[in-house]
Amino acid sequence: MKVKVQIRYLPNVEDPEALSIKRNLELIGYEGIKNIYSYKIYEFETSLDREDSIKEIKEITEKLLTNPVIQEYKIEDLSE
Amino acid sequence: MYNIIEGTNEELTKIASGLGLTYDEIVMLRNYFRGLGRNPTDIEIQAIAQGWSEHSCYKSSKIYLKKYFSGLKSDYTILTMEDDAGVISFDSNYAYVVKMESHNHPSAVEPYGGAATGVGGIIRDVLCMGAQPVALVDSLYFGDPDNEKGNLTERFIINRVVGGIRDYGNRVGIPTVAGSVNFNPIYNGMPLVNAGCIGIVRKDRVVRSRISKEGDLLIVCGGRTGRDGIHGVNFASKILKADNEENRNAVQLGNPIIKEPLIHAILEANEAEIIDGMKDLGGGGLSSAVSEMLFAGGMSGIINLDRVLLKDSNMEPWEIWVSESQERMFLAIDPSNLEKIKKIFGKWGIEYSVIGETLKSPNLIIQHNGEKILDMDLSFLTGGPVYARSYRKPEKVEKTVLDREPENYRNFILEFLSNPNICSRFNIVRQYDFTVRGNTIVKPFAGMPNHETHSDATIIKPVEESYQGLCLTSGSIPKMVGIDPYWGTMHVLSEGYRNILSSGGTPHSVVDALNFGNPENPETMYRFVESIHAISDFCRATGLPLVSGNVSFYNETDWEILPTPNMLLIGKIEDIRKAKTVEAKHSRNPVYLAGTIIPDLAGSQYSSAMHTGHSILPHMNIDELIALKEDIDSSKDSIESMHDISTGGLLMSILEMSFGSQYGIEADISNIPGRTNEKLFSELGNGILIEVKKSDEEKFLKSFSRSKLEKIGVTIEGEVRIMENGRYILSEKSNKLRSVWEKGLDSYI
Repeated sequence: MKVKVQIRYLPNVEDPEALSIKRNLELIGYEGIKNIYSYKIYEFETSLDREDSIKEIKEITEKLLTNPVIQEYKIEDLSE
Repeated sequence: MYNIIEGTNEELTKIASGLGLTYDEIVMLRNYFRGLGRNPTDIEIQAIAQGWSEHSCYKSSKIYLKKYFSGLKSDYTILTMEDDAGVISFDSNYAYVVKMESHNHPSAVEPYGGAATGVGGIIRDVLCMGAQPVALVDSLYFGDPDNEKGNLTERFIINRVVGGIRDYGNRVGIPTVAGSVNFNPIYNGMPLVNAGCIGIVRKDRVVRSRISKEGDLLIVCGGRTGRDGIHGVNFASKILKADNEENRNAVQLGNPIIKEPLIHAILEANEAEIIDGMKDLGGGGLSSAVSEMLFAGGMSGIINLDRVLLKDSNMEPWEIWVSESQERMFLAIDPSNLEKIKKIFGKWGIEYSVIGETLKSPNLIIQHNGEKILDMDLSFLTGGPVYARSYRKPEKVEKTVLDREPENYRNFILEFLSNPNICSRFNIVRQYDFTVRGNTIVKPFAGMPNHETHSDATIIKPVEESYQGLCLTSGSIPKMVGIDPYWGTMHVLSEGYRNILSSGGTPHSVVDALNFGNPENPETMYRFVESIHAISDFCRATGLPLVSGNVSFYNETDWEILPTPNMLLIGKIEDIRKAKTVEAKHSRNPVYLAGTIIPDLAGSQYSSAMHTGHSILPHMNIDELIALKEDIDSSKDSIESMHDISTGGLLMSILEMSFGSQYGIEADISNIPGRTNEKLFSELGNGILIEVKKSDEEKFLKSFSRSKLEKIGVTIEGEVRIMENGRYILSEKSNKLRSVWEKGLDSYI
C-alpha cells in the first residue's frame, strides 16, 4: 500500500522558502513570477490494508509532521 | 469605531476583554477621551491596548523591578536596564552588548516559528545598539518527552523548537554556543524558549534606542509589514487556551535570509556614523518601537502610514501599526544622510521607506490616506498603568524527608545516566552551528574529538586583535526555585558563577529572563518578588552588575509552570589560551573537591527519580562562593581541569570529567559528610571538582587556602571507580557508562 501526504502552509502564513526563491528569481531576471508556494510531500509504503494505512498515516501526520496552526495536509492513496 | 465615552459598564467590559485590557484600564481610557471630548479611533485604541499590555509596559513587575534592581551597576557598565540591551565595557576600545528574552507563548503555538523568531528578535535587540552579534544562547524547558496529550505532542514541540533555533541561527551565521535543556512534566504543552545574544561594538559606535533631534527622518527597513504577528504582545499577556483561533494571527515563521544582509547593512551604516537612534521592531511592532524611541528622547513625531511597505495591500491602518512582522528595524537619521543610507541599503538589497519625521511636541500624529487617524499624548500612550500587585507567601507544611537509597547503586546509576535531564545534549546541540565566525574557543563540548563531554561555560573571542574572551553560561533549576524561590534562585546563580570559574574566567555581568505564571495570583507574585530579591542580593554581594533582562508572565494553561528565573552569566577571561576545560587531562593527577556539598537532595534529579517531595531548600553560602573565586584565581596555573557540581551531583561531575578523554577518576567519598546518596547526588552547595597538576600539588595546597578542600581521588586510565568506607559503589569502564549517557535522547530527537 502506497500513500502520499502533501503538506502546505495555510493561507496568510508567510512561506520564507518560497519568498527567498521568488526574490532570487527576480535577481536573475525572471520577472513574470507572481507567487510561489512550497509544499512538502511524503510517500509512505505500508504493509497494512487501505483503511488501516490511511488511519495510521493520518495519526503520524497529525502527531509528528504538521502543526494545524500553520499547516494543512492532504492524504492520497497512490495505489489506485 | 469604539464608543467608550458613552459606553455602559457592560459594553466597556466587553471592549476591554476584546483588547486584553482590564475594566479599570478601560475606565482610565474613557476618562482620558472624555477629557478630549471624543471617542478614540481604531488605531488609537489598538495602540493603547498594545502599549499597556503586560509584555510592553511591565505593569505588574515595574515597581518590584525598580525596588530591587536599581543601582546594580559597576564601574565598567555603560548602559544597564535602559535601552534594548545592556552595554558593558570589554576593553579600552570595545564594549559587549547582551540581552536575553523569552519567546514562550509563540513557541507553544508554533514551536518552529516561535523559536526561530525568538532568535531573530534577540539578534535585533543587540544589533540595534550598533553591535555585531557574535554568539547566541538558548535555554529551553520542555515537558515530559513522552507526553502525547494536548494540541501538539511533546516530541513535536522539542524537535520543532530545536529545528527553529538551528535553522535560524545557522542560516544567519551567528554561532549558537551555550544554553541549557530541562525536562519537566510541568512544561507539557507550554515550553519555555529563552534566547540570548551577545554582540560586540566599538565604544564610540554605540547607538541609543532613543532620538532627541528634531527633524530627523524615521525609517523602517528590512522585511515588509504584513498581517502576520498581529496582537502578539496582547496574546503573550494572556493565559494560553487550547484551540484558540486568536492564536493563529500571532504566528510568524521568521526569515534569516532577509536578516543576514540586514545585519551587514545596519552595521555599515553605523560605521559611517549616520544612525542617530535605532530600535528593533519586535513585540508591539511600529506602535511600540516608534512611541518608545521618540518618548525616550523627549520627542514626538508625525508618521504617514501610507509609506510603510506592505506585504498585503488591503491592511487596516491599525493592523499596520501593531503588526509584528519579522526582520524589520526602525531608525532615525539626519535628512542630509538619506543619500548615503540609500546607497548602503541598495548595495545589500534591503527594502526601506521613510515613514515620518521627529517633531518637538507632546503629541504623536499618524496620518493615513490624507486623514489624521491618531493624535495622542505620548506620555499617556507609553505610560500605561502600574500595579502594586499584592503577594502572599503560599502556605505549605515544611517537613524534613529522607530520600531512600537504591538497592543496587550500579544498576541505578546506569539507568540514571539515560534520564533526559542527565544524559548528553549531543542530539540537540550538534544540530547547531557553534563554530561559525571562527571565534568559539571553548565549545559546548570539550575533550577528544568524537569523544567529548559537556563544557561548563563556553568561551568566545570576540575581538580579532585581543586574546581576551567572554565566558557564557545560561540556565535555571526550576525544581529548586519551586521549593524556595529566594534560595532556589541563589543556587541557580551559584551554579552559573561556578560554571564561569570552572572555565577559567571571572564573572563579569548578569542577565535575567524571568518566566512566571499569572501575576494576578498573589502566590505567583510572591515567587516573583522573592526571586528578584535573591538576584538583587546576589549581585550586591558579588559586585556583579545586572545589565539587562526580560519578564514573561502568564505562563500557564490549566496549571502554572514552576517559577523559572533563567540566568545568563557572562564572564571575562584575560587570556583565552589559559581557559580551562572539563575533561581529565592526565593520569595520576590528584583530584580535589573544593567548596562544600550540602548533604541534602532537595531539588535534585535524584529525588525526582525517587519521587521524593521536598519542601525545604537549604541556603546558599555566598561567602564560600566568593572565597572559592579568590582561591581559583590564585591557583590557576596548578589546575589542569575543573568541573562544577550541579545537575546529577558529584557523581555526574566525576563522570563528565571522565567522559571527555581516556582518563577516568578513582574517588573515595568516605570523608564527605552525609549519606551515600546525598554525597553522590546532592546538587546543593558550592562544589567544584579540580584536577591538580601532580607536580604542583604542594603549591596548589598553599595557594588554595581560603576554601574547604578535600582530596577525593586521582585520575586513572579508562575507568571510573567510586569507593566509600572500603567498598566500591561503582567500578566500571568509563566508555561503558559514556555510551549509556551519550544515547539518552536518541529515542526523542
